[in-house]
Amino acid sequence: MLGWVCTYTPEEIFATLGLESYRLYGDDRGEYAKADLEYLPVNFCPLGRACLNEGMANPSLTGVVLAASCHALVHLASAFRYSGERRGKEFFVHLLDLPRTPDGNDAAVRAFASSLRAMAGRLSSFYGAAWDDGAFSEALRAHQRVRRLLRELYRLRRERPEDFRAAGLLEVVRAAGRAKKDEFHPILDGIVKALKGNKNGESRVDGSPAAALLAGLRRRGSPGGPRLLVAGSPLPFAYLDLIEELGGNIAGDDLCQGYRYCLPEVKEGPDPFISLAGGYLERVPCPRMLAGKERFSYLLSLARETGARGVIYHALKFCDASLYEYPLLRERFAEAGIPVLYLETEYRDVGLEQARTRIQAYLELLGEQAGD
Amino acid sequence: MDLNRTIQNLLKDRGRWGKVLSSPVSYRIVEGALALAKKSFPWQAIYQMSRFALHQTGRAYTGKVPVVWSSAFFPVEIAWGLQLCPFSPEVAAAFITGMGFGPEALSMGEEAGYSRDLCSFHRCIAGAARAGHLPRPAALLASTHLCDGAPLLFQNMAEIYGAPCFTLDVPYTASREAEVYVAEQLERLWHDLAEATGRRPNRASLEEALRHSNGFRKNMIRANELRCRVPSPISGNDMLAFIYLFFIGQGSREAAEISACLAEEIEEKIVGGRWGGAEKYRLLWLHLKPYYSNEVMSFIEQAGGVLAYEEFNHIYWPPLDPGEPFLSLARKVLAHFDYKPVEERIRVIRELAEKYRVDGIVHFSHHGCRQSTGGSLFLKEALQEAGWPVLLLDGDCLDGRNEAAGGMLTRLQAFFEILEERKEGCLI
Ligand code: SF4
Ligand code: SF4
Repeated sequence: MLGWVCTYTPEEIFATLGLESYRLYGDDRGEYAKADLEYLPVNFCPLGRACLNEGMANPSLTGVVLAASCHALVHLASAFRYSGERRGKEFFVHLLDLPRTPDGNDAAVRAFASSLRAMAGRLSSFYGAAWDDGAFSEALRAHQRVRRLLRELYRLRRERPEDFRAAGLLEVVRAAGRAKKDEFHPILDGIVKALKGNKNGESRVDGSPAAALLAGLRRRGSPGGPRLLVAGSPLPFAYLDLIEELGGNIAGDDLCQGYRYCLPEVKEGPDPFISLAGGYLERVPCPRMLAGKERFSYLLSLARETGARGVIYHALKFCDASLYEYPLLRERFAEAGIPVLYLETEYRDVGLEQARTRIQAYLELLGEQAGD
Repeated sequence: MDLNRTIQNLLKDRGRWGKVLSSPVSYRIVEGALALAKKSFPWQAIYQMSRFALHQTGRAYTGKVPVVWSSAFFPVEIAWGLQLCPFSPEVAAAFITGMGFGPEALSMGEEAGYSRDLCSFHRCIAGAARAGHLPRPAALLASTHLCDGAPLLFQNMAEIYGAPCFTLDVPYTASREAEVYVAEQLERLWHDLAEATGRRPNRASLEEALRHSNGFRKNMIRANELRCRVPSPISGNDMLAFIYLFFIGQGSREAAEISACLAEEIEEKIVGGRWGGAEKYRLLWLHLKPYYSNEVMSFIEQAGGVLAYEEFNHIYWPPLDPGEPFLSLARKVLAHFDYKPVEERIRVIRELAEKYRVDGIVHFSHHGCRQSTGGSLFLKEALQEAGWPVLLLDGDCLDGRNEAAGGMLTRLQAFFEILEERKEGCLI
């Protein structure tokens, strides 16, 4: 079983090679809840630390693929290497070179394709798995089907955010990142159909693994408040529940644990690696990509499309990608008349009470602005 | 009046900074004070470098030549090759802090939305830019290697100044393909930068910049070799001043000349037997140092410690080939030992620790530095296993506002005691 973290990791490669893969989110840390302290300093990305602990707690994990997207993941790769060595395991660690795309040029696509090819080569020899173009086409289609349904789910949420629980939606995305896509597709299909009021879908969901996911999608709080967009670094679900409890309606997100995961559109072409590189890099860029202009205009259009009157921006402590993006993002949204609420966490549910007051005040402000 | 006081007097009224910094008269005044202080410089190379820095600052602020901001590890030969005026905001941030204006700039950066967990160099730059204290760039040059923050900050600054930002995307894994990828970007960037600044791309001028850069490299290697002598012929604290040349000098005639002067001076000192002194602890210093006060460096000196060598002064790249400017600059960028899995940094540090016969290693763990501090625990463990005591000295290069004043000194003191015990152990 292979672990991975960054949304720029093409899972299709693992599936083609017949390798089970699993997106690390940093939960289920068990007895290893604090193992990271031995490897990583305190002023270090809390998501990275949590992923290390989760990985160490999972005995079936035999390797990780980490995109060299930031220094947190680069050092996380060393931490996995060292911890693997200590436990005497032959543990596979691969750092995947990931170009930045400030100008979205072809050279970046070629460079990424070549690092994907190198990764596939290393995986093949470590796991003794062979690349097969037919298997690749199948994997591609299975992934696309799941992503399309996830986007459909997002579309439904956009129509009626007041019926949805945002954390529940992220749970579904999370489940997708951890499942075999051909097995997950019927589950997801059942959920979508059930949400569309299709009896057939509901009967498929009954008693199946989809039932829990569907139940999680049901909104709990009072849905009286404004529509919101959530952006920034991965955030603890309890914060989303809190926003909803206070009346906020989360109508869209720009999170790599959320909507961005559902976006890559990979078109099959003569070279599988070029196809993958193009599909992944051409998706809306994340803050790390240094394509600020493109991001801001996308985020503004997303806010418009979702009818968001406010943006909640979450930064994980020590995450440079988000922390550097925030100052300008705040300005751009202010110019567009959309106030931004900044939240910072250490990827844990602590600090909720303090946040409650700030979120409450923010929702009131949005209400006043709208003349409610 | 001493040099620092002259500068502080000129800059004491913050409201007039814009006027003072853009007036040629200010630079003439400081130049006069610098000339008077010439003899008090411990090394003439440092005096020359101060003149060079003053001249460059004057050029940047008086606006005669297009100014390009360059991030710390960008191959600045490109800018020299186009006869532009490179400006290092990171160095400016250290200077602003050294002059005592750091806290104000940092607070302004924080007000602009830059978190206190970000590198203080960048917070300080954001604040100083907001206050209008930095020269307006015609373009910005940022490289993605080593620092995740710099290209992100430069992107923001480019928006604020309405100037183009040219980013050099450096892959993490060095390979032939990576060299070509970086070289092609550099070539494109060189043309685009020329266009953005109204320059004509001239290969001969770029080749000359590479020759100067090679001169700098050769001279620094010579100075570094001479520094193997025990006791140290030059203080590491003085050597850390040359960071200025590393950041923006490479490719200039001046950096080649100043480094030649440095190597000669060290050699003269050794040949003339005018060196030595009590040296209790030889240290290898990793990362930079606090710039808001001299307390830490003075404490080390008073305790008999010397910085025998610093990671930042290490020359890690092969000579450049002026006939293949882009490819060889790409190789240089990709050769950085800190932009590789931490094992490579450990390997290089071990070699340096042996070469400079150090007693211990101090890693200055600058709060906002993900690259250096992020890997510090691996570094410590591996180097300790190899036999060197290692101190991870938590602190901040520019932000002294929260420093538990004595904390760093106490930790250094305890570290020196360990070194002392080891020495005694060896004697027995
Ligand atoms: S923010 Fe971007 S680079 Fe960082 S983990 Fe998410 S998708 Fe990857
Ligand atoms: S949250 Fe930020 S620092 Fe952490 S892995 Fe993602 S991009 Fe890197």
